[in-house]
Amino acid sequence: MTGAARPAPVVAAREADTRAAAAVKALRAAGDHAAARDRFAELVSRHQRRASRIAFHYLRDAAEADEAVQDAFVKAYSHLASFREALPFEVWFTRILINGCLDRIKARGRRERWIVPIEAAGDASVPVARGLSPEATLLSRERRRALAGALAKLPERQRTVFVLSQVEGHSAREVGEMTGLNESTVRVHLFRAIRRLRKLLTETL
Amino acid sequence: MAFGHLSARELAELWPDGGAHPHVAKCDDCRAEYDALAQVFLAARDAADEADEHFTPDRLAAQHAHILRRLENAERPARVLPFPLSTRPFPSVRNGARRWIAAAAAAGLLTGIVAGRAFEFGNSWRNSPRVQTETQTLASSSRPPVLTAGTAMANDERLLREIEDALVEPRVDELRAIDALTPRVREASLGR
Repeated sequence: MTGAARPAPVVAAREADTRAAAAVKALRAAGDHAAARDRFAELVSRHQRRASRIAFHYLRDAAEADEAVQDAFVKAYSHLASFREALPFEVWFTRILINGCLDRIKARGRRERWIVPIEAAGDASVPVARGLSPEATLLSRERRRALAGALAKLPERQRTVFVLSQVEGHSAREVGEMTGLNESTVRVHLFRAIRRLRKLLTETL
Repeated sequence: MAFGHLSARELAELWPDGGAHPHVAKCDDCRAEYDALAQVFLAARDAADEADEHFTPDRLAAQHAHILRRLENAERPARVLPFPLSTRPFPSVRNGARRWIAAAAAAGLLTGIVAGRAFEFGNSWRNSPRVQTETQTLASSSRPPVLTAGTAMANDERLLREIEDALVEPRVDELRAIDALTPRVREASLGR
């Protein structure tokens, strides 16, 4: 269900992240901001796709997800002094990103209480999947829509655990580090989320 | 395994190769349960693809550039705007001209003071009894009266009185008939 031990390239990437983060910290402390930004750009390149995906699953809006990712990177850079090398950069950064997304969801809820919502743009805004037959594209789109609706009905913790482990492929241990839960609690939340989603998707599809 | 079937948790653990599991392959109930769970996992996989479709390489490149620009801006020290002083000095007046302006202002002030004093002196002189007698003499003479501040008020009074008299009794013959017909509002208002 969740990923087991990380393969060697992943471990190497994590070590590279930690080295890059330590270098950025040192360069900033030395006052070499331009070089610090250049090193940080490596981290941005490595993590922005994954970050965008996570943000999109939370916010369901590409533009807002884009902003959330940008904010998270800027925040991570400015708070890099508080980063401890014992934790993988990915885990530390994902925690910042998720908190930012949750704040945005709360803010959106507050806004929606006051502003009349505009009708959703519908399927026209969703890009067409490349390399899929029209039937497969339609089915995939239906499944996505159903999952998005079902995910929205999950409690926040179950949703986070599900997105991080099933959509992003993190292990229960990593999800635990990102969310501050212990590994067995992550497994319990994940299983509850899957069971609930199974029920909701069966009703929808 | 409850009642010979695999639990939902066990079935979920089998993803994505659960279809090949010997029990799932034989047991219809477990197969159906596994297929239902597979929908969740498939939806999760599709969801990952959906995000990738939105975040194209171009969009990610723009995002990358935007993040770096924001970092650069955040680190740049705050710009302090200078106080908006004029870069060109005000047009300077030559010293000679400045001296003339000062002299003209002083002369104007002095003239004003002297004129004010003279005006005050003139008023007090005209109000003296001797001057008033002379004024009356002058008024009775054939020469046109010279209007001064002292006589102005007396003249005004006289003029107003004449107007009032004219209104009370029109002197134009043609108007007398009309006047006789008109209600004497003015008389009533004056209490005559």
